[in-house]
Amino acid sequence: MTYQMTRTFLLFLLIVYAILGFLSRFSRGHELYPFFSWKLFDTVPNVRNEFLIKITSLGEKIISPPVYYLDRKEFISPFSSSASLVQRKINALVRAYRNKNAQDFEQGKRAIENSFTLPISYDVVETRFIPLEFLKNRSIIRETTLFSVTQ
Amino acid sequence: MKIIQHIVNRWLIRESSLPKVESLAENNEVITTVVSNIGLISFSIILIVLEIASMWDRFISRTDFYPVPFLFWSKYLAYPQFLELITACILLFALIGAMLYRSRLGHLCSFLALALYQSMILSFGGSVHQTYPFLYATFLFLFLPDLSHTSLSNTENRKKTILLFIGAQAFLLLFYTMSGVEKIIEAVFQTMRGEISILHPTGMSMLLSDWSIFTLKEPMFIHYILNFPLIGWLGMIAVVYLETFAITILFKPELQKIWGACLLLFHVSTIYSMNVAFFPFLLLINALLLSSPFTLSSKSNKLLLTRLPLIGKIFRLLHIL
Repeated sequence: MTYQMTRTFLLFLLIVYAILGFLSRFSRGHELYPFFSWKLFDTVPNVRNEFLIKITSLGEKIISPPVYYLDRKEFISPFSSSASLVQRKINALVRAYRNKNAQDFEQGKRAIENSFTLPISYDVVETRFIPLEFLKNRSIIRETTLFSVTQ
Repeated sequence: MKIIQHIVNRWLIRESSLPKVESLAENNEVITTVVSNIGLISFSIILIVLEIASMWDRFISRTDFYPVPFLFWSKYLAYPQFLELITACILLFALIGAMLYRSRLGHLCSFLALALYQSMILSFGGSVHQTYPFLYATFLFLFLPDLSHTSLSNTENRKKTILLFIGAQAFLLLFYTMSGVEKIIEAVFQTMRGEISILHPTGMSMLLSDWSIFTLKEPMFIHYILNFPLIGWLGMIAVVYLETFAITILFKPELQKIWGACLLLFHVSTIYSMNVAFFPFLLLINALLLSSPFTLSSKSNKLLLTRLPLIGKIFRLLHIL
């Protein structure tokens, strides 16, 4: 390839990347391999609507009042070291519960059990909170218990 | 199209202080630095792909392996055999690439090592965008001529070598610009919806608190930012500026070392504030910006300030400097 051709090719590649990279912001994970939108840490979650689990017993120990699993992170299995992974499992469990799918529900329960190093009983709650306030003092705007799971 | 042409002419070309490739090609010092930096990039690939060794236990025990098309041949082998073969290939290619960085075979090996590494991570559902700048740099280097002394006595080869190195710089800087533009777009949308955006004084502390909740991490500096949101706000403003105008630095070589140092500081600060390490970016910033061969003879700090994108223009208009 001559120098002139290389120059044109390079310019073409940069333009193609800029366009396809930008368009990949609309795809899952903002990525269309090998293009990525570089849409990183750009959105501030003002309010979160999340399903969380509140642990009522851990191993042989009764936890009263129940605590969010986020406050017992030392018992989260190393294979689920990020809460986002546990969140995915909780969301799947709630989906199965709402769809009345017994098989998926049992599978979801097992997946959550495997996320902890000790057997747990828990309530699944629907919450709405402001992340900053939640992190500082666990303050919640709204919380509703959906169902309970016992060991 | 005319608007884009106007922006390119007014903001990039007219402001450009990058010497012509023809004159850069005549400078032996520039050529020597470009070649050694290409060698540095080839060596860095070893450091990246070595991650596989530390992930070996996880790979061997995992069952959720869905090969991407590039790894179609995995179905002809038993999984453990495939894993051993691909790991050996990746490491071998990376080593050959680093050792023969002056030859075209070396460039091909470096590219293959990275492409196989990315394919493997993708087949496990992982994310590889952190290594994209390397993928693009090694892809461009496939078009490099032989970098032997004999070959580089040819002017056309010297010009092509410099051009492709500038291309690798352009991709790295483009990625930062895209990230900065995305942040501005989202900030505008969030503000229009009446929400707090990353450009709001409490935006960074909100973002960090959410990040901390769902990653279960408490980075070293997070409490400072949560308790003094102004620190995070100033940091975010600086990062958005640094990222958005990154591409303009391609045309202002005198700022490349400073920009590289600031980007390095940015990545180090995200380790302490978010536990997010863009490790491959650090290696590439070093090879392409901090050790830039195009940085002109040292200019006064005052003159450098006037060359800063946007801010420099304001300084000049107000006759501050």
